[in-house]
Amino acid sequence: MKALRTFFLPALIASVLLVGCDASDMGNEEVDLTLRLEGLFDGQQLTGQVFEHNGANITLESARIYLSEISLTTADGEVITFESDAITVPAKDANDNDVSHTVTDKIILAKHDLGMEDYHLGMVPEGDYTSMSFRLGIVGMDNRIDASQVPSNHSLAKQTDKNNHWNWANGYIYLRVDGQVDTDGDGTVDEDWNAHIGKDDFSRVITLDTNFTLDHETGNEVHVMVDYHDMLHMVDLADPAERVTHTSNNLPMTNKIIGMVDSAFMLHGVHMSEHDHDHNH
Amino acid sequence: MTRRVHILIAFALGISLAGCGIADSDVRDPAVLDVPTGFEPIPIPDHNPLTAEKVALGERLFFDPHLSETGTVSCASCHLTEAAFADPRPISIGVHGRIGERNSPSLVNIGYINLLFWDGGALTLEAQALAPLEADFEMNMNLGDLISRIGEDPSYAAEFDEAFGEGPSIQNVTQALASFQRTIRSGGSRFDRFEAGAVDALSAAERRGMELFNGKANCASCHAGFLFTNQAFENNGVAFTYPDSGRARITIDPADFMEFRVPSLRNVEKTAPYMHDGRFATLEDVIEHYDEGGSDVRNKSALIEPLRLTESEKGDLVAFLHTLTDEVILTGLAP
Repeated sequence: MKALRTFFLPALIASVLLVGCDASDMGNEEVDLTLRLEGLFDGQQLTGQVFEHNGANITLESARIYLSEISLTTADGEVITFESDAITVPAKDANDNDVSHTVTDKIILAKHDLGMEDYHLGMVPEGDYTSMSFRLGIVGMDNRIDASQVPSNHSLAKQTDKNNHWNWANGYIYLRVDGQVDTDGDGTVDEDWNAHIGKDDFSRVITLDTNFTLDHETGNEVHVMVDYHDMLHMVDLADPAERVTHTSNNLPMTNKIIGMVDSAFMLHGVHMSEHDHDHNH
Repeated sequence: MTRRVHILIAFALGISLAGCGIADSDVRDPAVLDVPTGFEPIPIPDHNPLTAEKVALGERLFFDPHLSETGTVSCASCHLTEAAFADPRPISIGVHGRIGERNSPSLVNIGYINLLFWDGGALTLEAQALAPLEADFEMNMNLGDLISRIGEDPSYAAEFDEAFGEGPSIQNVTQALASFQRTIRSGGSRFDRFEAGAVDALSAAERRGMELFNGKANCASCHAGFLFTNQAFENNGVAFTYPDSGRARITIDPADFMEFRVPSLRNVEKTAPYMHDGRFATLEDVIEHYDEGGSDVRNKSALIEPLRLTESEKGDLVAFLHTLTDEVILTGLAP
């Protein structure tokens, strides 16, 4: 069982005591929580088809995101966070000194171009919840580790299929979308486009304020949808100026995408987990 | 185990190396790396102790073109031994003749360098090793294919097993390459012998050049210490000719615009052309650039200002820089 940390907000504790709460929504039982992350493009399956996007035909060949700092907030205001098996790896601190850094956060790498995936988060109390929150991205020391030295079964490991880390520019690519676009209007996609976004400054915390219940009857799997179309909504991929960003080389395009990521995520509901998956440690 | 790279005159000049303790042939026994007299120990990370097996494997990988997509480009293709592990071409060329973005810097004494690449983007030698492997204008190698290709070679499998007790992986490929690169070291130049007390190792002109280097020409403000670099990032006033913002590409900080890592000047005679984009073919060109105070560019370092050197002084400065050439660059572990 993954470790679980709970933090109580002092103000909320005080308020609970003051009102003599007798209606706590949290039970004594626990459920084994799974996160289902479903990637879409304009509500449709991501890969294997041509989409019309801002007047141009496009395809997607990769669609990947990193999520960290995942938390749930209970109806009582308790914030539940998740940890993974700790790894200690070489890193550089803020002053560029060599250090060892231990990563404990539950970090998910979702490879939506490979299909829908479920991620085991850990045990949480049964009961009512008001929101789910996570960070799109990886920040701080977790983003200053040497990815080449991360064990291959960890989500932060250097991936062998599509690059998830800039070896030449320290840091994880936490939003990666690639594809092709029809630039001449003949209906055939013919030019590569891609958005590889990283760096602490562009990371965003996303909070999905939706009431939901986790228990053995309602379900133990939170289903979150991420629609990449919404992230790219403001970008004209047929425009050469908006066809490629590796974050700092095209800040206008980067900012357009990051400015829209909040709207790309939706908490779709709660289901019973169909199977035990744990793609990312 | 030592591989000696002979530059110009093999064994013509002796080098002064400290006594060394070398690992025996036991698998994964940590080794001690000897360094030139007056040099600090080369930092060896705890997670990747130096062993004879890893260094030998790393050397094989370094020179193996099969690590590239086309099987035609190795690390050594752009870090030539005869050029002090630098590239004599202004911009390095990768698979399919693709032209890169920058000049490949020398790897001599690279184990001392804290942040790698001209912009400091790579935090460690291990991490750095993956960048040229993956870059489409360098080796353009899919990492999954790389591990498969190496794993299919029985001789490689045996060497990985000997060095790591397991087959190839990203972790141990990068550790082996980094281990070998940490052994590329040099500190046996005429300047070093002069510093060690051989007063006749430098001519009068070279000694005048040394005084200029440390004084009027102000070179030592950045090219300091036994490595002849303070490892800082500076905008040295070269004109901005294409979209390479240097250190700012990493930090996204306008204050770092067009700053590049101050390179070591050891073996500088052999590492032409110069600057991050190889724009200057000769040391004379470089000195002319600094004598003029660089170009009038945004964010230029305050250290770059007209020097007003005479022609004779310029000649003396070049003469001194030539004394930083080491005729024998060591790689591998000492015997």
